[in-house]
Amino acid sequence: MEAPPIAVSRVAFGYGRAGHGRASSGPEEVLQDVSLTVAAGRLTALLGPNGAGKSTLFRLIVGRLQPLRGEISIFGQPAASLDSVSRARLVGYLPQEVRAAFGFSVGEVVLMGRYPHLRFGLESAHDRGVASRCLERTDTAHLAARRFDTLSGGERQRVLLAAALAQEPRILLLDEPTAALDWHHQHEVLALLDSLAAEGLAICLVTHDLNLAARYCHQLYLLEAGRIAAAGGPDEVLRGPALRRVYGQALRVIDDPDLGRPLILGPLPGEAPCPPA
Amino acid sequence: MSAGLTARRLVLGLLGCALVLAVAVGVSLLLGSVRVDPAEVWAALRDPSRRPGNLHYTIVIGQRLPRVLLGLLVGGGLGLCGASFQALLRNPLADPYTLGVASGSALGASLALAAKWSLQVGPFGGVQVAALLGGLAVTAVIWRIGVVRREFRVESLLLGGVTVALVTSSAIIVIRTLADPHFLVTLDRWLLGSLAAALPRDSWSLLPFLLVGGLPLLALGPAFNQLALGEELAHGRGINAGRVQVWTFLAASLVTAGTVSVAGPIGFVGLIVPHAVRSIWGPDHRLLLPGSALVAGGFLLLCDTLARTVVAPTEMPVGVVTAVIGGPVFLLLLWRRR
Repeated sequence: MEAPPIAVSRVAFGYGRAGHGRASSGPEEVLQDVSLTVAAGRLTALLGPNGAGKSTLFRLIVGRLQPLRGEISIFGQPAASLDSVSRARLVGYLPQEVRAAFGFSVGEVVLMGRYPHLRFGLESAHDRGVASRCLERTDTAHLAARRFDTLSGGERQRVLLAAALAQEPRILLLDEPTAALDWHHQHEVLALLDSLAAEGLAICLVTHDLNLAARYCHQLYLLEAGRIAAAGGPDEVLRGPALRRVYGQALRVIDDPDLGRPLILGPLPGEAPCPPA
Repeated sequence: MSAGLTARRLVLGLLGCALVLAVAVGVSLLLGSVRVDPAEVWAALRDPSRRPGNLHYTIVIGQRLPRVLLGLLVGGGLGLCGASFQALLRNPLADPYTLGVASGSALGASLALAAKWSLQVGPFGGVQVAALLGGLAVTAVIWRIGVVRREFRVESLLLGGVTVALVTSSAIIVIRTLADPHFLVTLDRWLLGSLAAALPRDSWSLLPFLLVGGLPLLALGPAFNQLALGEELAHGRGINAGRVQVWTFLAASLVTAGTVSVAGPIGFVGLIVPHAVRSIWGPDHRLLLPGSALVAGGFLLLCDTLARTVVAPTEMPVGVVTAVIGGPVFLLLLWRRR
């Protein structure tokens, strides 16, 4: 059997003075003993409150940060042993914060996704073909000639998703890919991710929308203060005791009458949304 | 898909930029305070050894040619560094002097001029060495401020650059107050930037800086494109953002210090030329970097030709001409962007 696209094993990480010769003071650990697997052909969701360590975990996987302890492997190879371009051919990463400088067009931004595949520093006709297919798939082809910095938040997110797809990775890490999208495009993007997973991609996304995770994702990890509080399918994680512990007792879980999946609702009037301790 | 840089567009763009430079070289060789017939200019260029005693020969080969060579190297360096600093700071208003390199060089040169330092190191004169050391010293200070654990802090760099510029200009005022009034004229000429004293050896002494610092910058176009969307995204595409930023900072500072040491701080070239190239050929750094170098070389030569001819037989510092032309052009560009 092929090694899983991503395997994170007992990883710990702390910001602060790590690796700066003052280990005695000890960094505060924002991730502790985290293990998870991202499988091909499925949508994996990372859930959890702000500051739980979801984005940090992504940054560790793409090598932007180095773990204090533990192992991260990509298709069985230690992540640290991959050079940055080989890693970029395997892993597409859409961070939460993206800037826009110098008035690049949407078409140019999507073509930039081809960077890890370029041979002589210029895109070929093949690269252009890939980029234009990715624009089509994310419903952004009509924006190709527009300046990227004039787009709305939702349009930007779809264009960046197109750029990530143009990278033709086998793994996609998406940090809140639906945060700025309207209801229609949220479902459209998740349906697209679902079909990409069906084509064999391994996709892991961070989301705060528990219902989108319930509806589309196969494997869920709930993070709480740097630890995995629950892991499993939507039924296990969203109906389990950990969810209320993390998000507060006032949260209600009912059955979606049509799909039978869990549906998460907010507190009743008069009940305070109990914040995590 | 319409957008994007193709090989064809890259070649056409570079040809366009090279044409600007070629026209500027021609104009600079033909025009000057002394009228030399184009046929004589051509004859002198074709056979430099023919008539060494001839006055027109001396003007074309002995004066205009070294000046044209230095102008295109200094301008090219400034254009390339301007585009690089703009990419590095992700800000189209940055220029080669934003991080204080030129202020350091100015302080170094002022000290050397005030002390009448007559050292000669290989092709380098005393003022030139002092300007270089000043620029590199500022680079080291800014490095300490803005590069933390090999990570690049843009805000600290900008604040550090502005502060260093203020401190050095105060120090220069102190030097002016104490110095012999005689030397003020020389100092002012230096501080405004000029190609007037161009000798062939100046071009030779600038060349190593362009080769060591400039060539690597030219290769960074694709990485600068990725960095325009942020370090995090660039990292995901396989770029070591921190390393690219640190090397860009060092290479561009080195080239800038080199140009300032031979010609003084010539303003606006590194700011408006990348703007103009971007507005004509688009923001892609694979074309923008070499294109800015070519066009800036041409722009500086044209400004220098004006500096030599408008008030002939005397001449203005070219830094005044670039400011008088560059300032309004820049305002116009900003106006159009509204």
